[in-house]
Amino acid sequence: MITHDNITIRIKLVFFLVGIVLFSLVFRLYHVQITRHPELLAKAKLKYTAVASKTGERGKIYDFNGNLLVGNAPCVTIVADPQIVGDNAKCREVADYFAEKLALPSEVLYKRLSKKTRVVPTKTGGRKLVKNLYAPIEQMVDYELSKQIKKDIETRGFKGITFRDKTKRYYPKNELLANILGFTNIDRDQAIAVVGVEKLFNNRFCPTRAKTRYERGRDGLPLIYGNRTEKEAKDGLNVYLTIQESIQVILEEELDKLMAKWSPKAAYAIMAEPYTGNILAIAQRPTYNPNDRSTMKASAWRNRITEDVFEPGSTMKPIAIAGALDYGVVTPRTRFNCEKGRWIYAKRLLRDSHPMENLTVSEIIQKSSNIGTAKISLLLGEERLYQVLCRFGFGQKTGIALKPETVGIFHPLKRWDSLSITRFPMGQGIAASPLQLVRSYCALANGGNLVKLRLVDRLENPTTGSLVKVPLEPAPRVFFRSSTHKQIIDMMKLVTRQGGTALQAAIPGYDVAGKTGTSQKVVNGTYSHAKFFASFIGFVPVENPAFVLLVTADEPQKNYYGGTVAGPAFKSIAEKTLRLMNVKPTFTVANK
Amino acid sequence: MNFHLTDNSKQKRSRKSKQNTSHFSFVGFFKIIVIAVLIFLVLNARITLMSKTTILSKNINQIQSRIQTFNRDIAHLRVEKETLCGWKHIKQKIRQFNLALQVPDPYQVRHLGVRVNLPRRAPRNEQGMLVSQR
Repeated sequence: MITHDNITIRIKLVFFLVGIVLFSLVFRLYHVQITRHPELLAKAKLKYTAVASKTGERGKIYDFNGNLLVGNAPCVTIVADPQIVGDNAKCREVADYFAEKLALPSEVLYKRLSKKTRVVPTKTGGRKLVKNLYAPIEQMVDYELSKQIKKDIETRGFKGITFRDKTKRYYPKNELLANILGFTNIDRDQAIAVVGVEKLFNNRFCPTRAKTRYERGRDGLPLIYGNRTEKEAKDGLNVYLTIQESIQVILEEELDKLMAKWSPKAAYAIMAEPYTGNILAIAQRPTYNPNDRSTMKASAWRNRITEDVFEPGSTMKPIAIAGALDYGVVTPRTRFNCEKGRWIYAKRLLRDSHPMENLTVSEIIQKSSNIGTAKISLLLGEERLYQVLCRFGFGQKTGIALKPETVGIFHPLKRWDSLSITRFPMGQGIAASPLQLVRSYCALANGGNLVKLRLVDRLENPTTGSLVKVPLEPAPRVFFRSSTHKQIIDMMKLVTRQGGTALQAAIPGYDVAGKTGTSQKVVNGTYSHAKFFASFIGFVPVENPAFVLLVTADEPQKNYYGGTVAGPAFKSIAEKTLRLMNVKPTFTVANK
Repeated sequence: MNFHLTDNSKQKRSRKSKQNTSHFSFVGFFKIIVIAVLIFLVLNARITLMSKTTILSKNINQIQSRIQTFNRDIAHLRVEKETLCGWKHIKQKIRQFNLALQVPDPYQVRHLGVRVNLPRRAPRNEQGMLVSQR
């Protein structure tokens, strides 16, 4: 008999069971959502939170006018996943395609792509076989080429090929200023500066790295509405040099012509503004193309201009004589007997290139008499000569932003012997870098202020746009008499006039003040009679010089005189630069 | 034969309570339905919004990816432009097209205005700030 009570009991029983189930569910829900909330939230965050690191761009190098000299070019690294590429036949097809496109050995690529497993060490010291998911194909692939390859891959249906965006250091002007700019190598995706401005300013160029934490969806892409902590990666600073690209081009072209004509072992040319010390152009040969390292030799990328020294030869004479004029020891008209080209002092013979008799100080410079210069120095005295050479910067660094920089070879006074006083003023027994010589001539050109040579003009923060200008430093005086400057430059003008040693350096319409230098090289401890440095250094126009220019050839063939080898190169460079700078001639040729 | 002993008063009471209960159940059920529908609508709206946000998020990612591609294209073109402006390339073109270009004599050149040598990109904010402020 089914009673009302029976039904009620059954209903209550069902409700009770349902209640237990519901209660268990609620309890479970509470346990999961409330009790285990921190633990499960942490697990979930680990799964859907990703960290991406981003690096800014390496700073660039510009010339004074903002022309790019060193920049960052986009490129691509191509990798493959051997698991997805396919079977051996497919691997062969892919390898052949890339071998043809990228000029790579097909067999090497095939081996990489067909290697499906690799051996990895275990924690217990054993080894195990795992799937190989990575096969490199090529790094630093050109951007345009990578686009073509992408299209081809889509057309041919190659799978498992990934393109990773990278940037590489690029030198759009190739060999231009290469030895000064330097270059970088890549080590594990980081640029390592090797030499030059790249190395010296490496800390400034280096960008910062930043990590971004973001929440990602199932497809791995960041969720816009998710939590995100982002720090901005900053680009490196940009450096603006004092170099002017157009003048640099002129310099390098003429240097190439000099190399072709005289086949020297090396050649240098430096142009500087005498009033500021700004280096307008600087070049050396041999050189290299930093975009193509395959043919690069160590002798080509060494920075000879800052590291090497040479005996300046007769280019030293105006400096010593300027010192003598400044001390009032001589005047331009003081006469000296040049002993017909042969003179014995301290038991050693001193010779002139041509026999000469009585010469004025002006003529001593014009005709480059060693004997005349030696006699002037004897009047000056060791102590004062030493002070003059120190004041002109010999034995010191020039202040240019390049390392390593040599201080040259200039012995302190106590180490001088009896011949030093006669030899140093003619540039023998003393060695200087091309930069030191240019700096000393800047002092001659600008009226007696020894400026520091400058290569870097300003630094720019690309993020904020702010600029920091490298300040001009005060220049110590080298002359103390007001008449010295005019006297010495009037004498130096004669060098490029009739009767002087550098007629080939004369520029029609302009007064050029300068000096030739032909110095013997020291080979195995003695002066060679076959190896020379041939130099010419000067400034133009004399009254208000636009620049000081040095051209030097190391071991020129066929001829070794500074006036013959370096003089014409000086003239070509100076003429073109004067036109570029729109420096009008001082006089017409007919009026001279 | 089964006998069901009935109590009329009890039946009357239970019929009444049943009527009341059914009325009560209907109202309660209706309320539950309404609440459930409201919850359903809210959830639906949220799901729709989330779905649209997800689609938007994907679009943003795609656009960001395209922007990055454009930036790389621009960087590549800038570098190409500098290479083309280099003297080596210009000289090659002069030779290729046999252009009879000559450097003018100083007397052939007349400047019409004040010659100002401005850097290609004029400095935006030139002051002596510390370089380390990055």
